[in-house]
Amino acid sequence: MDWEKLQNIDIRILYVIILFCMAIPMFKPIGLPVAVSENSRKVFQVIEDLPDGSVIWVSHDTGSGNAPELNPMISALARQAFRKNCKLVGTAFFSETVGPTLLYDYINEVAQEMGKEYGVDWINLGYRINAPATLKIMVDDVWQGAGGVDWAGDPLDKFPLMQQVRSIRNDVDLLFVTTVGSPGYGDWMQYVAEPLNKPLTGGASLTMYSGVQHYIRSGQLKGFLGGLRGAAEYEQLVDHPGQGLAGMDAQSMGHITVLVFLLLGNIGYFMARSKNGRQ
Amino acid sequence: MEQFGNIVSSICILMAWSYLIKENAVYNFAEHLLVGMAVGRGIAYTIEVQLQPRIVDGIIGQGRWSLIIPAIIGCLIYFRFVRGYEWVSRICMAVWIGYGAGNFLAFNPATYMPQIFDSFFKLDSIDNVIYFLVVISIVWYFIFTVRKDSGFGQQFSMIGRYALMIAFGSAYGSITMAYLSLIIGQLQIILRDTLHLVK
Repeated sequence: MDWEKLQNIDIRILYVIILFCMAIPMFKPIGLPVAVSENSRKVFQVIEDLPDGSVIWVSHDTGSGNAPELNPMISALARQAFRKNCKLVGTAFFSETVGPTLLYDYINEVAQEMGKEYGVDWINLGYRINAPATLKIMVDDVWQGAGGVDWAGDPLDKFPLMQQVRSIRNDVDLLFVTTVGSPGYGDWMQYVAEPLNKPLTGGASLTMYSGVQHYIRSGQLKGFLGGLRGAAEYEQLVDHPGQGLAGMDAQSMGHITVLVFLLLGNIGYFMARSKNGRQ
Repeated sequence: MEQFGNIVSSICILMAWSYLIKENAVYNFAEHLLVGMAVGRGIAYTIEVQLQPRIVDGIIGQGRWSLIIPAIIGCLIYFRFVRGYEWVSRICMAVWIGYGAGNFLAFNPATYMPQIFDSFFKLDSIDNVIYFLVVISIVWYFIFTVRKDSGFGQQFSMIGRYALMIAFGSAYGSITMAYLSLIIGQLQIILRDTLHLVK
């Protein structure tokens, strides 16, 4: 057998096979098991431990690229928060259009299902430029940081929830941040979580998984949802399967395919080396 | 209208994916479209969100004349294009870097100190012992003023290097998983939102 062929499979064939393998579970879900990690459990628990009616600040700092990973986290958070009658105040600091729109769509879907009202139980303050500067202002004056309006440009004084939420310092109980890097957890810790001693939790693109471990270990980040996998685990904990769990079959199939080809490539390499050695 | 958006998205995704076969005109068109739209949008956005509220509303409308100072400092960057006076543009960068350094010193210790404190713990479990050895060996690896070309120093530095390789390998694995998540998002746009083939 020509082992070297295994090391030189046309990359385009690999792309097609990976795409094919990932698409199959979308048509026919396999239902591969998803074990819940300790980090996801911590996220669930820190929200569960909040007193009923607490205010949760949720910042959906994402663009379109990472949205499929992070959107299910927002839905699951809204579901868990609304069950406890918690209030949600939303912002977005990464993308001026994608973040606020998705934040609104995903919370609104759950809110309508659970009979929660915009402006009373939750609000979307939308995108604000320059996260560090805005956060520093919002710590003491949310209204000023938001420019006095919500994401649709409606004045904040018409929303009952915003009579209750004047500053992050006094009126917010937990920070839930989904991020793709910048502004990231570092910014939230520097300007809000550490100075005010507010619990910070959330999720991020899986690319950041290794980069946040030190925050989790030091207790600065109360748990962490890592990418689509984290979202799927959180959906399981909230006991409402959604897009996260639906995407896990496809992702697992993608991983298996990549691992199989990694294995084949390595077998080819070692067999070819051993054959050349014998010759 | 929403369906039209999904169709356009799907076409653009396929145009971008065509690069995987080889670089071609369709891919180049998608690339230029993206860059053009991003620049166009960026200019419009800067005018609407930065210049309009700060200069027209802030300075002219509300009389906040102090905003003229940062505006002038910002404009100094364009001295890059004035031959013989390029050095003036450095003032703008100096102010920005100075602000950044001051901001860093003022706010960052609050973020990093808990992690430093967290490194001091009892060596009462395998995890903690490994953590301790890895921290020390990596710090040792990055000390370049001491010769480490033989003996224990070299071996210990090698442990630090392997620990770094494991960390980078783990990060690379996470990135691969994340990219597969991104593909799922694109597949959902094509198969679910546009073609309605899956739920």
